[in-house]
Amino acid sequence: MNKRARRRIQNGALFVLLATLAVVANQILNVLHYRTPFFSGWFLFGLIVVLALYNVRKKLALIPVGTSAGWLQFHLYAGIMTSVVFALHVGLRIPDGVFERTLAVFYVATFTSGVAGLFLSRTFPARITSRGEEILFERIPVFLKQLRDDVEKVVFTCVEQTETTAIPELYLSHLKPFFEKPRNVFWHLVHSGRPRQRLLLEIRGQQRFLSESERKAVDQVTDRVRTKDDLDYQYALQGTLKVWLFIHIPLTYGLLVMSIFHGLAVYAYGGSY
Amino acid sequence: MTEPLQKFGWKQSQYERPAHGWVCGHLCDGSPCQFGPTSRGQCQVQNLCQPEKSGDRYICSRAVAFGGVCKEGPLPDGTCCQQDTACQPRRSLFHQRRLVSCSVTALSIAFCLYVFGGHPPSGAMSPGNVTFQHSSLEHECWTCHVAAGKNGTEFAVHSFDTQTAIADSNLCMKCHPEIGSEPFLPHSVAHAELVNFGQQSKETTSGESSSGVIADSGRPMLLSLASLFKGDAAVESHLACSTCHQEHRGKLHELTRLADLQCQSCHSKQFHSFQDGHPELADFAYSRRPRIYFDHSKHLQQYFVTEEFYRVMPDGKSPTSCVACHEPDTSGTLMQTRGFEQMCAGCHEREIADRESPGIAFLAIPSLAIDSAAMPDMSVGLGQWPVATIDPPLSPLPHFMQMLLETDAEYLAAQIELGELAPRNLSIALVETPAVAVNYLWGIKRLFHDLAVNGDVAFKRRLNDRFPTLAEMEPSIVPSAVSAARLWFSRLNDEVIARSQGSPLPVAEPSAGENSRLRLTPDSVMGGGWYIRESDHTVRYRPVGHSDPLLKTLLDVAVGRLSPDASPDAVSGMLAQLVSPSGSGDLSSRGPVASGRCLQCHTVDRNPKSGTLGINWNARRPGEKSSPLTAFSHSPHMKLLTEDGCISCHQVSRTASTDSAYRSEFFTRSENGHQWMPQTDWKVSLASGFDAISKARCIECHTDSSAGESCLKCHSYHAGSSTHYVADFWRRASSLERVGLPKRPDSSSDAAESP
Repeated sequence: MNKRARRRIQNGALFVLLATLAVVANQILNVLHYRTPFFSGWFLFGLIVVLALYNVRKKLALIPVGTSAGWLQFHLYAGIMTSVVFALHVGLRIPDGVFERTLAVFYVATFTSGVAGLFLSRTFPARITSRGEEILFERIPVFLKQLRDDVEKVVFTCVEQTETTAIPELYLSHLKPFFEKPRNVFWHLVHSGRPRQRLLLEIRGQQRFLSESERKAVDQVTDRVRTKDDLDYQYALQGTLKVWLFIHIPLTYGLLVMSIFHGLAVYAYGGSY
Repeated sequence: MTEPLQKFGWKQSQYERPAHGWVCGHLCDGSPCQFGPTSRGQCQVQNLCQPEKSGDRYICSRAVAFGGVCKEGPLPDGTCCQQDTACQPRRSLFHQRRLVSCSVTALSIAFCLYVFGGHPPSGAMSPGNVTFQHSSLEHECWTCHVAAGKNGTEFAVHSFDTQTAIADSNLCMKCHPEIGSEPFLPHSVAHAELVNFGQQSKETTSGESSSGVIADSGRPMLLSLASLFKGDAAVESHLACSTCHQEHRGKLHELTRLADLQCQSCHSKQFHSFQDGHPELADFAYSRRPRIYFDHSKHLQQYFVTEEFYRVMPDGKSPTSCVACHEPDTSGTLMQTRGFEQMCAGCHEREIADRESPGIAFLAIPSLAIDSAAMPDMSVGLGQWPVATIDPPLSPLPHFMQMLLETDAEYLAAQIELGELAPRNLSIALVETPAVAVNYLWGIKRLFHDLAVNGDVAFKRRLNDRFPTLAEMEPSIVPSAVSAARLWFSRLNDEVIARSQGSPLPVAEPSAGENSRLRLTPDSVMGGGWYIRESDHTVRYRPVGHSDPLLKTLLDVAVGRLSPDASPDAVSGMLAQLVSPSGSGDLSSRGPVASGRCLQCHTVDRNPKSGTLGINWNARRPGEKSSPLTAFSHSPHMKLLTEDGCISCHQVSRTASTDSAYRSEFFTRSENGHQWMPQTDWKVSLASGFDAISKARCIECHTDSSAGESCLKCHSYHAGSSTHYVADFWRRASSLERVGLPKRPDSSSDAAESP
């Protein structure tokens, strides 16, 4: 059993134990006529605050408050724990009021985006390293321009040498839009090579009508097409890994704000004894 | 195979700073500058220079970092020849994410302020629909919440106020006064009363079960765990209504739902279910004596089955079924008792209106045992005095008469002076202290004269406003007293006038005509139960039948004033006489007669709150709970009856004693021995004559999979709650204004003042 599997089993067992304890404690408090939503609510709010601190922790890399990996593990399991506590808090029913429903939607959206992020962060890195060259996301536009310039140079060179229009026409009709910006993001996310194959078939279909020098130029262009497609793949996956945080983090802050107001309302309207 | 795109090296590649807020505006073109924007988002590229004039020429002054001196050089007019290539920097992804986060946070705050900031608060703040019972209050938050409609500061204060929940619960009590005397204590009763409940429960359930074996497999594990955290002070702490009644959970939410484990968490006896571990029902249904005492065992097994029944009770009717005496109420909850005329009159009517009974003496003339003519009456001024035809009973004056005489100072002085001689040995007193004895006897004559002349006014005045209820009693004693005065003191008016003037008392008899008009026959019946008994010169009252109004009035007053520590004065004596088992007015009477018979069936209960005593004139009525924490409805069980009928559950006791429970259990002597006290403890005596109801009978249906075995099936949490409250809700809801509910925060008066 490797280290990761062992860690997963340990953390999973600890999570199940704590979740069971939370459920039993909730039942005990309920039996003893305590108002369990108060307890589960405070527990849930505390968990959310600690989870939100993970974002702060990432910015305070110099402060020794545990390893980032440790924080991430805690973030994952505590995040899943919130779903158990949330279910206890709302009593496995859909909240009824407008404000309560909005708060619940915020929680569900935050939790769901977190689960989606967990899925993405566990699957995309392996796919990113398995295809093409690993490129820094911030440099992708530079390399896109570099490839576009390379292809245009090949086309112009070919025109000068052969004085035919086959290659320029091919570039203008099929390749220019492809090289202008990242393409086929959706197909890359679903790990489909269909657009790439379609474009390569298009190029290959032109080859029978070309001269030898033109074919060499087309081969060079084909290489650039493959590189550009790999770059698009990197762009799609790395971009997704960055964009999901656009949902998860803002929702977390909104959730915290609404939770504070929710707590004030609960205490004002339900008492704080 | 193409060459790798990415190169790393301080010359080949830039140092990427993704956490920076801005990126070069040319990045999207794929040709960012190497400087990047400033931290404030300003482009740092300065490809334009400010040409310097050197002699008659302008020379380029561009820094090396931005390309150095350009080949073209400045224009002849001294301006730079280059195009401005400065970009408009863009926000980095990191910065965009922060912006979105701030925007969402701001929107959330704005939404919360909109929801919470209204006055009154927005309906969006409601956590959900209220139950249909409270639907009329759906949009009136202030009706149930003290914090509703308050400004920000007050709202925050309520948020941190530990008494907010209780304050809200007090608003609940505006519409729910029936909950109990201590609505926020466990079971809505005082701690001492709760302890009393527990003690009684232990006593009644400690015996062996009727079925012999009580299944008991310990207590649930969750309760065992809960017991580790349970505090001792729980029974004395206040519980807000919202502890159990969770509102805003939808119109059909069951507001009174309470889990069995929650019920048991406070109880010392904990068990798994009604079937498994619940104590036997013990004295359930018979825990208190019936309001109208009736021994079923004796009647059903002794009286009704004997051959002599119809001979002894020719008008009596032996019931053929339980419904002959009981009928369900409109809700089907209670099998209420039919009226006296339908159930009891056949046998007991004649017993109540007993013409053989002497009745109760209210007024009496002390017998002197000698003819007044033979006395030195003229010298002492006694005047006319009737002569008894039978031996004097040697009894004191009736207590009621003493009450009327207590306002006569001359009489009271004479009574004190006579001491033991009055009224039993007045003949001796007339000889030894004639003046004092005459004063004493004249007090009685003045009473009759006063009643004869002034009627009801004199009667009420003499009661001295101490007993307004007695002063209004019907039928009135005054007409009988007037007749008695005319009968026994025919010259009374003339004698009173002469005595007041100091003149000799008249001796002439009234004319024959007048005398015959006044002359009544012995034991003349005056009507309404009053009659004059000539033989012992008394005015007496015999009940005219069941529900005799005068006796009810007297007994209500008497029982209301009963106290074991009462001093033996005239008032307490009269009251004790009325409620005593031998309340005939004569201590020599034997057995229960007259008023004493009323309390043979009508029990006396003490009000637990006020401590006063009251007579149960009626059987249990719908809405009255027999047990504070237990409820039972007959109607769902009717269809389950076997051919045995009600006996299926209510087994008549075969072992009940047939001895009379009358003296030993119904009345007790007070501690000072001065009077009889009716038994007021409804727990100790006078059961209905039934065996305890067996739990096994209930378990036949009440299982988890059948009719249910929840605690709330049979028990109610609030000791004071009424089972008919829900049905009564709408009537109460229509009178919300009347009960003084909180007003809407922006009241109409404020609105009227605003322009």
